[in-house]
Amino acid sequence: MLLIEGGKAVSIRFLSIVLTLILFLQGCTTQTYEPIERDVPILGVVNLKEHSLSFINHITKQPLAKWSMDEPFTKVQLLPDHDTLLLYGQEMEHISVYKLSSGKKIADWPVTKGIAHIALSHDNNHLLLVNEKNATISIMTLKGKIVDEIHVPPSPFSIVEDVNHKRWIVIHFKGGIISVIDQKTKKVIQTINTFESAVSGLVVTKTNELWVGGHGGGETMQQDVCIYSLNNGQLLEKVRTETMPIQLLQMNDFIYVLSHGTNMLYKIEPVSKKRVRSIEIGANPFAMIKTDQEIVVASYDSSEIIYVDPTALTMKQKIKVGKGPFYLFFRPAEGKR
Amino acid sequence: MKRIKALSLQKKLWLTISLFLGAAVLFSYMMIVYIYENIYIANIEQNLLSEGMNLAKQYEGGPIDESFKQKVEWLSEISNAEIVLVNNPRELSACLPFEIDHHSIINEKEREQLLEGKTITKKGYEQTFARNILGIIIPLLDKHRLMGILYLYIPLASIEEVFQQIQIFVLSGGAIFLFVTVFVGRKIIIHLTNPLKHMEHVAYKVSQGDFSEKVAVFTEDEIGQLAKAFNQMSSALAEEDQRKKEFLANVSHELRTPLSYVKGYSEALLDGVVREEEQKQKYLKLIHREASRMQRLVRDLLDLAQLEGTYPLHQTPFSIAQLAEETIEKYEPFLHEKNIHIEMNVDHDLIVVGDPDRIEQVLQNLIDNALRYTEDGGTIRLEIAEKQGKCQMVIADTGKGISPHDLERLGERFFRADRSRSREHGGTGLGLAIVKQIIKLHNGSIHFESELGKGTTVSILLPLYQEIR
Ligand SMILES: Nc1ncnc2c1ncn2[C@@H]1O[C@H](COP(=O)(O)OP(=O)(O)OP(=O)(O)O)[C@@H](O)[C@H]1O
Ligand SMILES: [Mg+2]
Repeated sequence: MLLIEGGKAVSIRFLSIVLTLILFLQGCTTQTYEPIERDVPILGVVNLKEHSLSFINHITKQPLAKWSMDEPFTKVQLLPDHDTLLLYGQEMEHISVYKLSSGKKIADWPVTKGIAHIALSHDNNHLLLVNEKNATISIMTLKGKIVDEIHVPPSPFSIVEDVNHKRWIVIHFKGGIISVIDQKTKKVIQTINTFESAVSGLVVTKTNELWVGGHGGGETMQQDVCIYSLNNGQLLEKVRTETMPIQLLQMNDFIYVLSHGTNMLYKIEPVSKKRVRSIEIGANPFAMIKTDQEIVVASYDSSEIIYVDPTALTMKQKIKVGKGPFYLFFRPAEGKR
Repeated sequence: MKRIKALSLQKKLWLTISLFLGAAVLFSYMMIVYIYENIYIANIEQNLLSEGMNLAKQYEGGPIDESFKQKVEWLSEISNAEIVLVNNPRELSACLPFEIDHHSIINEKEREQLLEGKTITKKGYEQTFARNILGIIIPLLDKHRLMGILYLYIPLASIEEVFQQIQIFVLSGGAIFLFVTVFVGRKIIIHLTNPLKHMEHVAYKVSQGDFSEKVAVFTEDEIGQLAKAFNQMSSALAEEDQRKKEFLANVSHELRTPLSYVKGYSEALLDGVVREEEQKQKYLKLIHREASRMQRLVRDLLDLAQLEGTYPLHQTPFSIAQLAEETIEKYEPFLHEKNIHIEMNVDHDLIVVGDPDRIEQVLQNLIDNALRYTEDGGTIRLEIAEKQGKCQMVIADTGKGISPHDLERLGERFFRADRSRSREHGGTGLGLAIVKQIIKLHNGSIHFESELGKGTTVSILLPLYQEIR
């Protein structure tokens, strides 16, 4: 420093002060997380116990990044641009909007407390916000503007779209009901009685059925999935999937049911309703999604995700994630859908 | 602080004892609480844990089957503890992320702990069982899966019952003990401190000059000793008081006599009753004699007062024989006048440490006496010799002697064997008192021996000069 002439030393010092100031200010306003490249297919995991997001490279099956936030979010929803991620939770009074590619939060969309589920409408133009506390379904634009609000019976917990009938079907956690909303009139047109503490539904177009899973109320543990007719709401059948089937998905021509009470994954043929295969998987698994080739299950208590081959129903790989994986999302690489 | 200082000894003792006792009772109570908490409860906990662990060992993974459930039921029946097997996932908080308001037996945190294989200790109200319990939760794990829990518990009421009994026993026992000791202690303290109060009362009287009352001595302990010492002090004070009174009486008497002489003779002279010149001369001589007697009396009293106080001796080693010889020389005319023969036998080698002026005063007084109380033609013997490492000085005469009764009182102030006679000789009765005091100051001793009609021997022992070898 002594060798350098005075003017230069001053300018360097000034620059460093300005730089630290900028860094400091930036640190205060927006935290930057490790960006997620758009050309990498990823599996996102919400770690409930530590309020973090884990990103797994879907090809290499290696952990890619981990974002630790200080918001009590429970679930996320990826927008059709495959880059904007919405973070929400029952206790939050806003939706936090992040850009994966920049690793930055870009907005807070204010909402009323109690959002239990956000779903993307089938046409990819709207978001459906299920507010359990308020007993409403809000329709929101992809820019965060609420355009409509539908009042439903108490305790709505999740929503699925019945594309063929142009309806939305709401599963209620308390009260033992399912309500059906007409998309045109935006009114509840039907309520169907079901078991207590139902959490998710699946529309099976092939058989024109609604499959409903959940915990069951009080002392009774739900031991089966209830199947209702989409035509009249009649309970058609119960498929034994002990215990506490809480996640349902359809892949290829099979229905997969995840039961967290017994840590079981069942593969069911939807027409005959026969259990084709089953496997004991994870410890208290809560979430399940399909990727392009596999099914991924999140094991809440053992803090790992498990890749499952859907055909043979065998575990392919286990990957450690943050504490308490509770929700999963899959984003294919750019260009592939 | 001042308040505590102002408290009586009785109250202080009583307070101290009560405080310590209270502390002791409190301490033992706390001890019992401690034992209850840390040993009794811990012991029950340990028992529950080992019982539960033994049972949990029987679980081998996989779904919990009927036979295991039966085992639990069977053990629950024979065991002191209630044993509950829970395998409903909802009760194990497995559905927690969905059900925020459901109260499960275990909460999320406890579930985490159990998943790690740790046991949980619970103490207090358990909503599930709707009562206060002491319990242990042991996980039944199948790798990462919490398949169920064993909840072993004992209602706290049954444990606390035991404790409550002890508590009541200790508290009531302690209270009775405290009560009794505080009151008995009060009695004992009053008993102990009463002599002190009595002493205080007597001391007050003594201070007022009343020596008649004595402290009653009942015991031989410290207080008894104190009472004895107090009584001794009181009688010593009484004696001293008596002596003082006598002394004053003596002084006044001694002064009154010469004063009345002086007054009487001088009046006679002034009135002109005495005509003859010879008679006048005689009266004047008498007046002169009494005046000088008073002078001597005053001087001697002053000397004595000084010697009895803290009189500074000008100590120095000196030859005692030389001092004696010089003193005798001064008496030569008187000895000659009275035709008294002097016998000297002195050791010239003896060196005595002391104040030579004062020792001379001793010699003078003793030779005075010997001269005064010895008839004409008598003999005075002066001996100075070493005896048992000390210097012995003996002055003996062949005078009239002193009766054994009077011998005891020699050295008392104003004591004279024959009051009227010695008055003629001009004695005041202070000479030997001064001698005794001087010898005492020199750490020496004096001893009188006498036989009526035969003579008197005074022997003095003085410390010799010890040369530093
Ligand atoms: N050597 C002695 N022989 C007989 N009696 C003595 C002798 N020495 C003392 N006494 C008696 O003891 C008394 C006390 O003696 P002390 O010398 O104290 O007084 P004092 O000679 O009377 O008067 P002071 O010496 O004061 O002029 C004398 O009065 C005398 O009666
Ligand atoms: Mg004398």
